[in-house]
Amino acid sequence: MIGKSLYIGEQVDLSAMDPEKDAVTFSKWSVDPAFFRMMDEGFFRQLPAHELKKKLEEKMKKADEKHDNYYFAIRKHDSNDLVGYAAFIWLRPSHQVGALQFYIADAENWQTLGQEAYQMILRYGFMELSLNRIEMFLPGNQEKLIALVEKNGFLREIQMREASFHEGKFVDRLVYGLLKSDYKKSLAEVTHA
Amino acid sequence: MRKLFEGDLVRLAAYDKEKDVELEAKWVRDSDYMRLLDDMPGSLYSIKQVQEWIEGIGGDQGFYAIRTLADDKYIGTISLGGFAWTDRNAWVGIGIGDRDYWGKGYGSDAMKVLLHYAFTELNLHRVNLSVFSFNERAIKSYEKSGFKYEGTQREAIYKEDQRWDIITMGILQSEWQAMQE
Repeated sequence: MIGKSLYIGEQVDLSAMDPEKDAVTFSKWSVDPAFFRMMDEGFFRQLPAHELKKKLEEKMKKADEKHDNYYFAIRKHDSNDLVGYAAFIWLRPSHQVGALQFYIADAENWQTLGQEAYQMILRYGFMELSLNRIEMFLPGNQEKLIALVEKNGFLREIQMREASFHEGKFVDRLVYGLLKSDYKKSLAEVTHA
Repeated sequence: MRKLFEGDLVRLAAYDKEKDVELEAKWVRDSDYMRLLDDMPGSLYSIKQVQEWIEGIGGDQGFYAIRTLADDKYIGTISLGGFAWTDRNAWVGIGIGDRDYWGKGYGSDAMKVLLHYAFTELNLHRVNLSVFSFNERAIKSYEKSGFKYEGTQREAIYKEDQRWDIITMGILQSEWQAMQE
């Protein structure tokens, strides 16, 4: 249990959000509806940095007080550049269940940095938050995230037909789930491979 | 003219904060009922808290008291909430607190009224619901109302030292319309 950091990886680190600095980057990312939806429930628009700074400060304060959400900035290990964002939201501790949000900004980073960051986040969820189940809710048009999630053993559990509307048509809304037992099996396979 | 909130057995009505509060407080202490209704750990509420809950109903959630047409008895609650307006869907939740009215079609009748409203007035594209895997009576009733099984969140509930699944069901406006013909 002691010896391998939860937060420091080879290519990426998990760190606290820095509302002042990260808000500027988040503002750029907020033109992507997938990221916008993690920050705001209102009308889609680019979120200004000043608004995001306030949002991030509020999120972090509430998380610190209530321990109901856990937020992560994903940064490059060497340069410390912000490359992604992750959060455990809607934790249901009595059931050992939590929902995960995950975002990597650059398309080419998904396979490499994204995979390492995702593994670190899953370890945090199962081994630090002691969850038995991690779930993700996503619209069916997020191919990169779906590929990552499926690669890491998540099962497509629910397909809510035509529950999301994008680019003029209804698409399915998906629920993915990963159980701790399957997560541990996949780790064992990686070790023995 | 058809009465919008009236079915064959029940109507969807306002709460009466004086008369309904005793019944509501009683149902909240019925742990079987609450375990069927909500996955959160059961909480006990004082009469005053229940009254405050009734007074707080409104805003962007449609909460209706289910009353019998025969004798205007308060028997349960149905709600439409979690609206996703651009996706045109919402979540329905229903509970019949009065056990004398279980398994007799009162819940299905309330659902029929609510779906009619959701699809002909709110113009929703679909209505969603979640139901726990151990609530077979509800699942049958939802199937009868036209909901289709869409998947299962495995081990999403941990109670009584066991893990249980949560099922999601949905009905599309087009499916509902086809049922009316």
